Amino acid sequence: MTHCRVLFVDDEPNILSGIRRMLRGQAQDWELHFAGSGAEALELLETTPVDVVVTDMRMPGMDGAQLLATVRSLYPSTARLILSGQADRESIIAAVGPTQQFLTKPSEPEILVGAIARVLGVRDLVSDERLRSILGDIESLPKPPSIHEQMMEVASRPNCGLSDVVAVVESDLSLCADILKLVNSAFFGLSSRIESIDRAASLLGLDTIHALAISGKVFGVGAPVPRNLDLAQLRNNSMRIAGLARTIASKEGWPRETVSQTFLTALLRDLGLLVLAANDPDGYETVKQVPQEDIWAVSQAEIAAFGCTVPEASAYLLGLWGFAEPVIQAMACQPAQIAGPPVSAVAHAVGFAHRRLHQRVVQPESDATSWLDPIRTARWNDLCAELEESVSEST
Amino acid sequence: MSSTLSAHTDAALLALVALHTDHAVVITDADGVIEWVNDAFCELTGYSADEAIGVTRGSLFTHTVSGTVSAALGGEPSDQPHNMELLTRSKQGRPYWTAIEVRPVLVDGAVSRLILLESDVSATQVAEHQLLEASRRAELLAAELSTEKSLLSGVISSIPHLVYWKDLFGRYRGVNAAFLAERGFAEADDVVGRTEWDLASDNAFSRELRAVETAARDGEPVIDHHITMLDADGKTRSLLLSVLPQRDVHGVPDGLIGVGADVTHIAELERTVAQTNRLESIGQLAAGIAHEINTPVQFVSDNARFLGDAFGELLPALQRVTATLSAEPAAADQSPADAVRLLTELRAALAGVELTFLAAEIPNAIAESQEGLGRITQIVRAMKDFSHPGSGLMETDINRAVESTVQVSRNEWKYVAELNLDLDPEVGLVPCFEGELKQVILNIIVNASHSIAARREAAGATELGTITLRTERCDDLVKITIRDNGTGMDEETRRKIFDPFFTTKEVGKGTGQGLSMAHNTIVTKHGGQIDVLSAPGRGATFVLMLPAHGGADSPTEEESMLV
Repeated sequence: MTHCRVLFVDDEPNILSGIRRMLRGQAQDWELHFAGSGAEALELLETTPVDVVVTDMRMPGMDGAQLLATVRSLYPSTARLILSGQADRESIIAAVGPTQQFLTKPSEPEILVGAIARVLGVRDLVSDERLRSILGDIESLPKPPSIHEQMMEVASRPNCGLSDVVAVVESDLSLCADILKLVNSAFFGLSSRIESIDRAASLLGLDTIHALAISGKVFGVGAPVPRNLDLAQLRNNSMRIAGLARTIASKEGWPRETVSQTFLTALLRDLGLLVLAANDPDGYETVKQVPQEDIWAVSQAEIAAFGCTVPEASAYLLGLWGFAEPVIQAMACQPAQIAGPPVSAVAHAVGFAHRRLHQRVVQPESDATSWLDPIRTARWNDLCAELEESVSEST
Repeated sequence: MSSTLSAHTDAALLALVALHTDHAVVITDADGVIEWVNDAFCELTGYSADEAIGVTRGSLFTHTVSGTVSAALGGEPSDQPHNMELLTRSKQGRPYWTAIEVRPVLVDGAVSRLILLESDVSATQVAEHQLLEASRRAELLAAELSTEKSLLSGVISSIPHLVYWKDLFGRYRGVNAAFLAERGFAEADDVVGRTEWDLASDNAFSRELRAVETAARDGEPVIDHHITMLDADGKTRSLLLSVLPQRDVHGVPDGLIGVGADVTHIAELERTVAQTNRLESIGQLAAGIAHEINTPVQFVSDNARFLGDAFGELLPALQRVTATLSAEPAAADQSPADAVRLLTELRAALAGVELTFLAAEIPNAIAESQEGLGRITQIVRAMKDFSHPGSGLMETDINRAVESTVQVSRNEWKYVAELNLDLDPEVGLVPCFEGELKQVILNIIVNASHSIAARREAAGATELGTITLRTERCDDLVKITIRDNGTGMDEETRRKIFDPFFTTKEVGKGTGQGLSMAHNTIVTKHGGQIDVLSAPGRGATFVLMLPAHGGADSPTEEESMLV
């Protein structure tokens, strides 16, 4: 890990000194800075660029949301976290835009350290500072314009159930990402990370979802859709990969949590494309020319055009937003090399599902010692074929 | 000859009389055609003699006539004398009542002429009409009055309040149904004409009634005097009794009217509302209080973590030092080489221990943790204090009440204002309803914070506003002053500020209940006073004044629950 700078902002000096003492162990890796107000923080940032800002929400003068909004526009590559004791939803929802992660006071030292470490960890995925700025500048991912109306329509039904909401959310990967980001922000006081949309929706509750739909936040259109990106196709592909990966994971009898992580990793694998393609449509055009079934060639083309692969950009975003480590790890190593360095089962399942999208039958690696051996490959091919058959029958 | 002469003279005299009499005189032929009229006729009808002669009398009624015109005037012979009264008009249109007397002159049994005597009877007619009208109106009025009376007595009877009226000597003149039911009488006649003494009912109500009426004896009304009593089932009942002395049209005292309202139900309702309001504001405070607690918890746990780590560093080092020292031979047996080795070992044991850092930080970490725990304790105590005050009128430490209210509301003001306390130690204990008093102070502090926030936002100011709370003892009063330098208010707002439901906040932000309840609490429950001084841009100063000794007329708790 490179030498990183972390800035803590709080109007309560005891909080700052407590954090300073508590993080003494990290002193050789992290250079810690402290500011007693938003203005002081901005002054420090003028001379000292930092990697992560962790700020209190309610402060006299400039509050945390205002500070992070300024940081976002001036230093978009700086990761933005809130550490607040304010428990009301209103103020958190107000800060949804510029804030990448919410942590609540009191936070266990491990949680705080873990959140900062995770954000710093994904920086290695995207080494280009400029690209980090582009990804860090994202407030809300592009969504099809119809999604807001759909959400409003569903939410206004008199007997609207959670399953209706879940269906709408799952139909769009940007929305999935935004909802999970919101739910996993620690203000909901969750002890563990949430990876399934239905749990996320039930935690948020219909009232909050409705309020969010009306405010246009989260469910709003977000950034403009890249002109040469077929959003519907991207969504269909993502849904298909996610479906296949979930089937593999659940039929393999993996723990519930792992099944959710597999689904989520597959679903959000190409999230980064929404940002990369919007920022560089010409680069995306060259990527599109590569035959999609040649996954390695596609990865090479992505690196040549954007400076990183699409899954790397996706993993970077999820890392900034505090998604679970296994999801980020599994995503970052896509496309999973069967014979490459050992990767998690989640990564294998997602990689398999992705290849299955472009290949009729996934060929087993010649290396029979791989975890994904020919027997497993054959079983997964069968599982996928079953699912595809049942889907085509039902339609 | 002489008889002829005399007849002639008579005729001339009569003609003169006819000519000059006040009555209008008309002579017609047998067919009613006018032959002669006198001046009075011309004057009465407006027709000249030339116009009248040669036509019938009836044909001269060219305007509408009310009353029956006899056929004789129209030209039909009649040998019967008769009278009529008609409302008609003169030729010029002047309406008048005329009385016409028709006298046929018979010659040999046949009608030869008619003599009509007419006179204007308008004055008599109008008077008669007015009389008739008046008597008809009087009848109507009497009927109306009797309807009104029965309506009124119906209304009075159906009013759920007790209503009675008495003469100057305390004798009941009337009572309504509710009064009878309350007092246990069947008929109004059981009561009317008697005094409270005659009724010989020596119950709480009767005693209170007599006391209030005595108070109203000097002519001043007594409004909403609280009566608390037990009903037959032993339940507490609350009544508001008003006694209104009456005067007759000449301003002479003339008995009194009494109205008693049963407000037991309303009193219960208001207690619930007050309770709900308090819970609501505690709920609003809860989020802020959570923040107040979460912050110290965060740094106390960070410091605890640090202390644990530091101890984890120090303990093995210390243990190694101790072990090294205890393994050493006694000083007397030591060689210089031993001493060097010992020194090296001790150095090694302490290597890696950042003693300077720890020496500087550990005391701070402990001090800050203790401060944080102290803060948490204080907040929890204030919260407990605030949400579970003693019930009823109790000797209350006003300064402490102010402090704990300031403490629980800290999160409301600390981002917008500095809060200064200027508490007079002489204030001491004052009998009051502590919970309600704190609620009032809380409402005013929260309003002050909002007002300062609004001013800062409008001005884009970054410096904090100021809220000052001051307590002081002035003779028999305790004064609590709460001053802010927020937006202030204009005179119109200032005048309405204690009205129920009056709010300057956006819809949904304020119920407009806070200050109205504050007024109620201070004025009605404590017999104190609440005032506000303010001007736009000049902030606001609320002054609460409480009687320091409660005083004889301070209401009991049960009575206070009414309001």
